[in-house]
Amino acid sequence: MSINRLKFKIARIDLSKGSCEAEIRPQSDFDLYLGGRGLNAKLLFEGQPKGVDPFGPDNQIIFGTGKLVGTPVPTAGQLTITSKSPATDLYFKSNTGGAWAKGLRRAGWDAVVVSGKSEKPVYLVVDDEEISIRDASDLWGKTVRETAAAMAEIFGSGWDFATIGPAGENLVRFACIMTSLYHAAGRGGIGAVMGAKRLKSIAVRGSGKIQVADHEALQSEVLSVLSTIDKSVKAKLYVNYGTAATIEMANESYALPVMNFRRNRIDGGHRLGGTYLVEKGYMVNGAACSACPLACHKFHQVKEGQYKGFSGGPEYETLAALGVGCGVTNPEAVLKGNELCNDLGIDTISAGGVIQWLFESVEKGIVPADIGEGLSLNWGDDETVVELLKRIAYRQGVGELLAEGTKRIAEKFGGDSWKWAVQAQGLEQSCVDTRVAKAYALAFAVNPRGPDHLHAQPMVEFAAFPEAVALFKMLLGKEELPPATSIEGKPELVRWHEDIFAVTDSLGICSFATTSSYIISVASLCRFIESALGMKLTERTLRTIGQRTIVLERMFNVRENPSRRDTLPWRLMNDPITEGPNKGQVNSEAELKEMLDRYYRLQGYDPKTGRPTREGLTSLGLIPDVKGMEAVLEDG
Amino acid sequence: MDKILLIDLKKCTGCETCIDVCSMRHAGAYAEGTSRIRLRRDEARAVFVPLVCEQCAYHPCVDVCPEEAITYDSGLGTFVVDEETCIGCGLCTEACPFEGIHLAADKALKCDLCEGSPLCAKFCYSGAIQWVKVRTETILADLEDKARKMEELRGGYEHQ
Amino acid sequence: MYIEIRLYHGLDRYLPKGEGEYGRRLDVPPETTAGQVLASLGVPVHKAMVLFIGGRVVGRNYVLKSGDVLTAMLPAGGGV
Repeated sequence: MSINRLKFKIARIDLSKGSCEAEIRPQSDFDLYLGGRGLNAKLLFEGQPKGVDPFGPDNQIIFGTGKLVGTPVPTAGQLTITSKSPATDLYFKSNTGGAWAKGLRRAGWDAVVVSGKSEKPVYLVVDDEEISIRDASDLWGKTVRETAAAMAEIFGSGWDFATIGPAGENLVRFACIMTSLYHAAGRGGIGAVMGAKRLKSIAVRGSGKIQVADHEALQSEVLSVLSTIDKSVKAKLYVNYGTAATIEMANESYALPVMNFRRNRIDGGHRLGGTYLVEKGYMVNGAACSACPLACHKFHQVKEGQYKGFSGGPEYETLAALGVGCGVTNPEAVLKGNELCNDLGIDTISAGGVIQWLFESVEKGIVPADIGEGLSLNWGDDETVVELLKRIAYRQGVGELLAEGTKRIAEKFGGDSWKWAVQAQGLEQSCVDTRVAKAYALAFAVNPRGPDHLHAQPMVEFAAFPEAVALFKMLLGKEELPPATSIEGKPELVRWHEDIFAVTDSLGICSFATTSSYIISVASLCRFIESALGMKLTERTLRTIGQRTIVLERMFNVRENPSRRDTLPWRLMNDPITEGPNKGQVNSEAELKEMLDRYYRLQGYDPKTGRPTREGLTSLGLIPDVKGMEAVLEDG
Repeated sequence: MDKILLIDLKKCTGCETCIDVCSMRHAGAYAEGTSRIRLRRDEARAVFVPLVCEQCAYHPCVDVCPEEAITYDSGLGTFVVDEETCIGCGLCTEACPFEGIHLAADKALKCDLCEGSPLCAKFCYSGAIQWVKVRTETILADLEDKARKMEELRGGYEHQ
Repeated sequence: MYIEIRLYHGLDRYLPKGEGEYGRRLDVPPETTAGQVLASLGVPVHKAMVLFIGGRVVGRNYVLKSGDVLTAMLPAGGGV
């Protein structure tokens, strides 16, 4: 089977018609977008008009991966899932790891585009070149683990599955898609999009081969990256502790969002941190995504007690959202909660966010305390947090309301509760206190999917490790890192990170490699692209390609909701920090505006509206390449 | 040969880079079927077991082969399968307690130690595969350990 | 004077024996610097190590005051 290196082979599945068709994309798609997230964005934009119902047949859900996946380029195993979100009614992309993307590439496909809606539950089977739609009545209602077990009975070993749990089936607005028992494409409710289509799972197996232009050069570069890891403090932290190591860091520096962003530190918070989880023997192993040496996703076990069991993860965000955010410092409870979210298919960040809103609303008397039907709804109630996750997945009792997400539940209860709904455009903020990290604040505000960290991750502003200093010097010509609370240089920082992040997602490698741990420099990335695909690209070209995706995503939102503004949740903009060395800091309107003004200017956007201009779209080639792009400008 | 591939099950994270580089070396492409090293995944417990020829002193695969297709190559320092002679009967794959030999396109494939510089060990970041000097006492104990673990896991897969 | 020291990310192996998970109360002479305390515990010098006093980043030359809480760890950051 030959897989053309620079052309994408995509499958178009229409669940209403029950049809599957193959399509070969022109090479210009690679030249302009590289694939993965970039191609997904173009397909989403062109393939549906504005205003579709996220739960309706016209909303596409696109599973796309990059051309480096299927090779041993470190971290080459990422999948991007793109759709219109039922939480935000806007553009949404979500990334996940595991081995599903590699299976898809080895099967000879670069993307699967699903539209329509099935009357009965179905699942897709991608068996090398053959794609079929099968009855999933026996699978509907099963948890992710139960589904995996049932699929193993049918298919045996060697298959990977992208599955939703009961949360997706029940249209929980923050349901996620699991590409293994514990790799999640989270945020935004894309699991609910699959659920609305009555699509339970996509099974994939690829027996094909991946050829590259120069395997010796590629593998030599791989070894070079492996030796870089050994010298990198940041990378070794991921290897040894995973993302949990950030918990004690944030707790000790009063940067941890505790109790719905009202506090920044909690006694005992370190018990949810990487040091504790490793030292106390909870951590069992790392579970690597395809080709990844870091294996940052850590697998844990609670050996006895009420929370006994295994837990794939939790990551920093989960430890913050379900743990310290809720006032909980019992790691075993968070391990349990994390595993439930894996099994039921729930995004942990939004789940934690809406539970925190509930605790604060009960505290303030907006929501009656008996709404928990026997559950006590107080900060630190770990048993309650665990139980609420189940009620959310099955929309039982108060779970029915929580399943709608923080924005909608606050609207329902009214009063001042919208002020502590820590969300913007319908997405709960990731557990980063942007009042102490202004580059993150800007990144969260301009992120098309909402106030979330997986858009830029401008790690350099938090800690002075060598790669950070080098990057900052390159971008601004300065040796000294301005403090995280300063806005100086932050627009430049965000722009570099979001461009590189977009390119990373489009190639199918992990943002932890090119940002966060910086083990794959842009120069190294160019060498990988050349040795794998025979294409010589420069940093400049890569940044342009990244820009193109960033602007394309922004235009989807301009078309979808012209009144959308780059902003942050009310609390982050109006409630200053109350403790620690950053007391008094806030993401004020004025400060955010100053960063946005500069960001818009550097991006070439209209300074008043923050929108890309005709000139910008044309110079990036989005006009004329993307059908319907010009029309958005005409609608004004 | 005074070195051996040592597999440490506790360290394998399941990244499968070993499979990639092995298949590229032996079949000229990144694929799974043509790799001489494979992986058993028990995702539910995050246990990953590299399956590769353990260079046994007692080589049951050799003994059971009806065509005598598996013979010792002193240059490579390991037993190799003569692909011309191999009839793909699969008896060796059943005899091997470590699932270290398998059939692909009707031929038995096994590790040939890459002419003295095994790529899997070179690219294994976690140290689950190491190319180390033989220390007989510990090697035997490690092999017994692994055989026991394989039995355990095989039992586990039955219930899957 | 008494200070508290907290060590994480593997540095905790340098904590002297005592009660408490990652923290210890230490009696140090006045005018001791953060760097001197770490050296006295045998914590190896690491360019990328991050030191905090009360959540604020400080350098090795910081002169400790009575009651200070000195935290040392590696530069973790970046969540998923």
